[in-house]
Amino acid sequence: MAAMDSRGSRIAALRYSLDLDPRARWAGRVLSVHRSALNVSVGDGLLVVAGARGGALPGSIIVADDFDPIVAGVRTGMLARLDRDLWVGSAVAISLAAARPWSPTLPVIRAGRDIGRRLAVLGGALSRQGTSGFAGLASGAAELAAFSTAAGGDVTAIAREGDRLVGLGAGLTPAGDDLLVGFSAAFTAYGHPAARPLAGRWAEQAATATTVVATAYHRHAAAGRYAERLHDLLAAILGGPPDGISAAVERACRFGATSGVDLVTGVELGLRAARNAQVERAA
Amino acid sequence: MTTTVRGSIHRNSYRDSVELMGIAAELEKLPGIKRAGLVMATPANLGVLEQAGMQAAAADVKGPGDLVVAVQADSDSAAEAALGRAADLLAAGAGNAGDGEAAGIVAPQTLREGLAALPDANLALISTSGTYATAEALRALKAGLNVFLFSDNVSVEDERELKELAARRGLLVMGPDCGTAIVGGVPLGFANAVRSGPIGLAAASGTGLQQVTCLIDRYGSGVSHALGTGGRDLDVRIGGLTMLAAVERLLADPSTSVVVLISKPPDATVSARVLEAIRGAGKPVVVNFLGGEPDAVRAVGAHPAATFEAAARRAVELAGAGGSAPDGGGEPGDSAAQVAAGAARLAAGQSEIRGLFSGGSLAGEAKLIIKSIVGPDRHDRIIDLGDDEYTVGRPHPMIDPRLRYEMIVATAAEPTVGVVLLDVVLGYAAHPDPAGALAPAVEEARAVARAAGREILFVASVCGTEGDPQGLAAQEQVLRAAGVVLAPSNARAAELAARLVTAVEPATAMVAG
Repeated sequence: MAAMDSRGSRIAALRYSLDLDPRARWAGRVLSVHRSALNVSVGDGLLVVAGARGGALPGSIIVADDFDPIVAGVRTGMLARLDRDLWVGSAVAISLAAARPWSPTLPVIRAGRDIGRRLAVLGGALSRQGTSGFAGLASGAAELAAFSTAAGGDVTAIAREGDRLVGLGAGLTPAGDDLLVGFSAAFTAYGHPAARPLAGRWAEQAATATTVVATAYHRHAAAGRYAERLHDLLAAILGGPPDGISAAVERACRFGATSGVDLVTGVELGLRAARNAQVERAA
Repeated sequence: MTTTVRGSIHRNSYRDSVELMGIAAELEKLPGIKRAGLVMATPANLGVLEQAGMQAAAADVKGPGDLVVAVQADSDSAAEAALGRAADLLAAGAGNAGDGEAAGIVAPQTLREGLAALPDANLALISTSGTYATAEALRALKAGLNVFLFSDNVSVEDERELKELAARRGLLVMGPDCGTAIVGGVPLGFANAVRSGPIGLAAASGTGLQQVTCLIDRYGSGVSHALGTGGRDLDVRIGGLTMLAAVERLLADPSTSVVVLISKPPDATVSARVLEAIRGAGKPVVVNFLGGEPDAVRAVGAHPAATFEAAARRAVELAGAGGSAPDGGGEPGDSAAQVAAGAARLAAGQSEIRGLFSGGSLAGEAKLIIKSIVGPDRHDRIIDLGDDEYTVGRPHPMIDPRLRYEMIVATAAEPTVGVVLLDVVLGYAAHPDPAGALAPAVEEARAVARAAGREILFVASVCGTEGDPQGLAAQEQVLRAAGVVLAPSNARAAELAARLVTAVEPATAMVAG
């Protein structure tokens, strides 16, 4: 593909998420622009264009790592349209012609007998990671403590305490939403029957209780769709060699500013809750 | 004490959590501020504000997409000042400039915004990744700007297209992969602080340009402009487009009375085209095409120079006006007796030179000179540590000397190496104290060699001026104190290294039995 175009930067997409239909035609507006990603609001949904380093996402088009929409001149409010290629104002044109599809649907991963040891490694690795989005004014200490306690109990308590985390915390995707998505991912990968109902409940709340971006991730979770980094993390924790868990945690925590740490915190809580439920059923 | 709560609402302002927490922390340091928070206006976060007694800050919220800046202060004026500061910081944040309520400083993020802030600009310096560099350079040219293209990974086809467009528009593209230039006295990229004067240069060689301009300064003359063309400009596929354009400009420039052209070995056809362009030039032109044919240069009435030092000397002589290059020699280690004394410190068989360079052109010049003195059948390794092989995943050695440090120490363990040859490059954007960073490596290497019963000699030149941030004299003093033998130029350092090893006794063969 030509590196330049009189209309602006022209690049090739590497992958696209299967929940997108590349043959569709639609128009939307740029919602937010970041150093290596941009969010486009389409109807009541969200399209993300991101560099490959962070991995694929549901509802995303993935491009090369050096993608910098700010340098390319993308601004919030610009018109974006999908018509074979994705055009973002006059700044960027992204071709989907050679992009490979990627499935965001998270499969069930059978946990081995050593799940207890694996969870211990996960906890240790997480404790060494960076900042959570539960900080400053919206530290959420009480809500987080209540949810952690509820995670050791029944699904009703988890649902109720999870409600209080929707929209709580700093950032574009508030920390509470990141944690709940991580929790749902863990339940899904473990095969817990309440995974979809819980995610669906929080997605319904999210529509009026949190940001557009966080709502989109809740809706994907309700449909069993998660970011590639969560796929990789859960595969490493549940099915990979135990000595690879710490590195997988570190990689996942690097995502976003604080979102990675909060997602992995949710994963840990979800796996422990799912394991406890399995133990109780077996007893 | 009274407490007041104030807030501001920023619609559709999406920032990451670390940025928001950072701004809150900065606001809390302001005088009179008790508490500050920046949160998205979700019901949960509004509940947090209520628990903190700051719900009044969110009175005008319309939905969870709004960003609330909430401050609790001991006066209205303190609160207002904090909200103003928050607005400035949010506006200065990258990318989301769509917030109509933000006030204050907006740093330009694109060429268009930069031109709006500086409408009389005539040069764009572009340093983005290769994918976007071409598009940005195109935009700049179409906006009527000359381009200094620091970025690499631009394709040959794109380079050709950019330079042809520039030629049609009467503009200059310096690059791609152009690291050094001085335009009207303004240094760009890895340049040095040199005196202004009558000598104009055009170079397809970054450290070559630095070496020649620094020596011109040392010899008492100065530089009008030093234009970089990018390392590939004299390749047959580009055809010397920028070199030809630069020559035209320098010949027409009233502040330039002598022109110097510098390149690594150019393509023969392109070299001939450039020489034809200076035939009958109204000003003296010095041509330093490494490995080039001096007769071809003389045939067009220009002055050939085989080394960067020779180019600087000749240019200063031709410029006259008070500058004068000192005679050759004058540095310790140059006389035959001193070379012999140095070689005597080396053991039989320590006849190899290991060159560890941060400048590609300086490495290239050293290789040619060493080969001309010691012959082709050698095991010397002259390494350009700025080559892609050594810079994947790490900064350039001119900025980060750590790899060179390791290689210097490792070389001391090689029994056949007698001389380590170095370049030390000063100037803007270079390491703040390259000599200070290398001296411990030299000392450690010498200790390693001594422990094995050997000496190892270090020979170097410092490419820089007194006006550079690091200071030429101070850097030379540090190196001398570490036992490095200094030469006044890269060419002389290479000559000295070659003479030292040729004076070393060869190793005697081991006899079996």
